[in-house]
Amino acid sequence: MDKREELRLKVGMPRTVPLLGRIVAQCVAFGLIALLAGACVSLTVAKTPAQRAYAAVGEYLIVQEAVVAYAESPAAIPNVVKALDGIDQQAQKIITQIQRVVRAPELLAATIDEDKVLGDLTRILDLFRAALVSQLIEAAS
Amino acid sequence: MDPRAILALISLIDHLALAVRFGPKAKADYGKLSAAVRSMVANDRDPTDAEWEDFGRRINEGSARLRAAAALLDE
Repeated sequence: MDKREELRLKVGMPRTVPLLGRIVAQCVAFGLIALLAGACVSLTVAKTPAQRAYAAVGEYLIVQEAVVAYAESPAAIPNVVKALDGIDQQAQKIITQIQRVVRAPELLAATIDEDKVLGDLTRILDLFRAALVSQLIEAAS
Repeated sequence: MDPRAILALISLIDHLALAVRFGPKAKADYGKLSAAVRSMVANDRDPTDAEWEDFGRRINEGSARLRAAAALLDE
């Protein structure tokens, strides 16, 4: 049994998915990629650290809503939802830290590296996107 | 009809429904976020506490729903 077959059995996907199904699911995945790539624009518009953080957290919120819509849909695959839930819990911690920094910079700027926490959020967003998109593509193949 | 083909057809309809339901909402939400950030830049101001609290509340709600969906799928 090859890896692909093993994964398919693990996630409970039917072995035979019609070609049309694959094409449509891939369109959904690529549509999401395009949407999420477009969302990065607001990050480049923002000027101050607080505005950048607001744009990053807002972008996270849009991605999170996509993930929740997926998790609550009948198309959801249990293992994928569990992985996304784990990533979301990591993201929550980072967002809390970011909010502390940008809402009280005079108190915390000296102790927390603002660029580092924003970088952490960007990495979490990338993880979220990668998990969602790769699983959608895998489900379609 | 082969049961697998029926399952695949149902899965296809589910994906389509998800795209139709979520796509326009996400586009609208992104438009709002982009407008909010542009307005902050134009008015040379940072997000207010109320704006942060609104984000915090929505993120917490989303996380709770995600956790509930994961728990439901676990059963």
